[in-house]
Amino acid sequence: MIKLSQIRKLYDTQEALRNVDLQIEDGECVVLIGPSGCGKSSLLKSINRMIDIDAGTITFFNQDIQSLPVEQLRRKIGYCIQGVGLFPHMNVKENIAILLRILKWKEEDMDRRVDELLVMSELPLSYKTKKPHELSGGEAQRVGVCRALATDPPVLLMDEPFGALDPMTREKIQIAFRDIQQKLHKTVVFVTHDIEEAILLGDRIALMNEGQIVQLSTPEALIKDQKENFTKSFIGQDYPLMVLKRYRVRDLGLKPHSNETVTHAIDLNTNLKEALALCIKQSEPVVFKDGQETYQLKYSDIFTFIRGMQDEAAH
Amino acid sequence: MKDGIRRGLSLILFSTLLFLPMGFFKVNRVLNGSVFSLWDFDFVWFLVLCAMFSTFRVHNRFISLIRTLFLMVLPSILIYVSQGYLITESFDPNVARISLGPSIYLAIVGTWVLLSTEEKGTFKIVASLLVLLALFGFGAFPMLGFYKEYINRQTTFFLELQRHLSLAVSSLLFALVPGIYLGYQSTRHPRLREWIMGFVNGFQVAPTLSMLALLMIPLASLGQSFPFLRAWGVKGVGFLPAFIVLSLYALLPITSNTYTAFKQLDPAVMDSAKALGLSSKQIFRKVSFPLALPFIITGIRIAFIQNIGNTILAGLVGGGGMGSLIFLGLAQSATDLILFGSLPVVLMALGFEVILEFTELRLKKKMGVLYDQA
Repeated sequence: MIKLSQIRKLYDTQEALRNVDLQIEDGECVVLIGPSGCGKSSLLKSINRMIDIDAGTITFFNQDIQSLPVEQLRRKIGYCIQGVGLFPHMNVKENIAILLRILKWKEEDMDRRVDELLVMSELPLSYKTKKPHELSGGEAQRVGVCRALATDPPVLLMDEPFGALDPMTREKIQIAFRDIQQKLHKTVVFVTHDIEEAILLGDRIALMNEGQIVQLSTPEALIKDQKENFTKSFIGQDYPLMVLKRYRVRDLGLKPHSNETVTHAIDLNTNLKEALALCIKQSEPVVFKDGQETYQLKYSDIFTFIRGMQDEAAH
Repeated sequence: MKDGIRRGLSLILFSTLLFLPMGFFKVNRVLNGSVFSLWDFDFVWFLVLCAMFSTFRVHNRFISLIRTLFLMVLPSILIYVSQGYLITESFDPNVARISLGPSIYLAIVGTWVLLSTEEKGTFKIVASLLVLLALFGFGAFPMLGFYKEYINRQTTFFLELQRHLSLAVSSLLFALVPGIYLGYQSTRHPRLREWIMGFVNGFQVAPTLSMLALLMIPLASLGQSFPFLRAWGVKGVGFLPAFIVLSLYALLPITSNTYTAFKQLDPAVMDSAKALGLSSKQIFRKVSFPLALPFIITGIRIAFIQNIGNTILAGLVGGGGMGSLIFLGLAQSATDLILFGSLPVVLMALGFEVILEFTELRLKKKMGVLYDQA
């Protein structure tokens, strides 16, 4: 658990963070979002002491981070940034294993760990000997995540890690990252300015403006509960539609139908936004196959689901 | 430059053989010589014709192979045949000599320009140069003034060459550690940087010669007051002042390149190294120094090439090196001796430049820092 209380940060006379309080629970992903210069990056970097705060305390598993040696603290916190920052003179394996080598792991353990991470992030094992400049942007970012996870740290800090990727690659890597996160249950703090990314990845979204957290709630709760004008203008009118992307057809709990003619090539893993789009484009119901079973999907299934979700968020 | 332009240029350079002097005949070392040209020979015009024809494009592989071989030996042949002029005159073969004229030099340049249009041009140019040097070493050009100077001073030549190199190398090595250290410190302390750069720039701005003169006074008086220092070689003239001045001059390229080397490191890379929990020592050893190394080597290369040239001035203060031959030649107005002193310096500088640049390129590729320049 990471607890930030009354954090202040000044750049010269400019206040970047104004008495920010934030508590991050174990295994949850908190997304910090806001316009440029709102202090989201500064807040993230204060956790692994890449910047030093001027007032306030940060406790990391009930220990004040100032009382820990800074290298010790950073080794417990994975860190991914937009530029990836892979070491250009080392190959992929050396990049991932740099900290393991410093910690004097055995060669075979190191090999096993690197293989494990590459498999998890869906990269071929042959990439181990590649140099960073031979990788595409998405591949480099995956290697960056592997490097951050090498020592299996309980916490991950991610500073707009997918910001520089093209939309197609970004969506793929976002989904891959969500799947990894659902497996590993790391405590993640994620900075972005992309509201869709925040919805897709965040358990909670902390909306920041002018050095303060304006609103902190789950993506679902944000549909109805928009406390400030700033929230309304930042998340936009189509926000409820974007939340649909968080869910898959599987979450609707559809029952298998029999003897239907399949009309569409989607499956239970398709997200609800796409499913809704299909309903709009085609005359309903949408009939599709997943494995051996056949299902049918209607507008009303999606609407009922959203209503239920909102009720749940309200309580 | 486009191939066509290069071919045209070498055609022009070859054609200078038709109207510019090919060389000068001298009855002895000092007297002004008489000019001779292509037309004083019987068949050399044919050679020139061949050379001019070789500038045209050919597609036959066999012919182009013959042409390449011809071009690689052409400089040697031109110099060899120019010695034939002596046969037509009555002379004392021990003192009479030939100096090469402008058209031969231009034609040699033309050969190299033409070779550079071919595949592996640099390699072929070096090969033709080696052929020339080898023939020179085996005594194929006995009538050349250049060769006579070489025979007269064979022992001095190799001694001076060795002194030249050792002075250039030792002063560079002496400047290496302080240069890199100062450059690295300037990246860490921006305010210190002004002072450091001002200090090393100061030496670069002061003319080398005046630095030598300025150093003579304190070194001479030091040596006179303390006999034990004098025994160690602390004198106003000789090795030491040259060594000091060369070291100071080598500082700037090394320092400023080291500074840029560390300054240009990708902040994302440095940040991730820090955030991974590497200590500052580990970051230096594993990340920043290896990545800065190719650029530091650039500085060392520049300093070394510059040192090879500057070491000539050591000849003025009795520090030895090729400079002593050049200044002797100047004092005796013996053109061949001047050339004899300076050509090896030029060749050395070019040779080391090529070798070091190649090393640098390999290193940059290995460090993966080349791709953002390509």
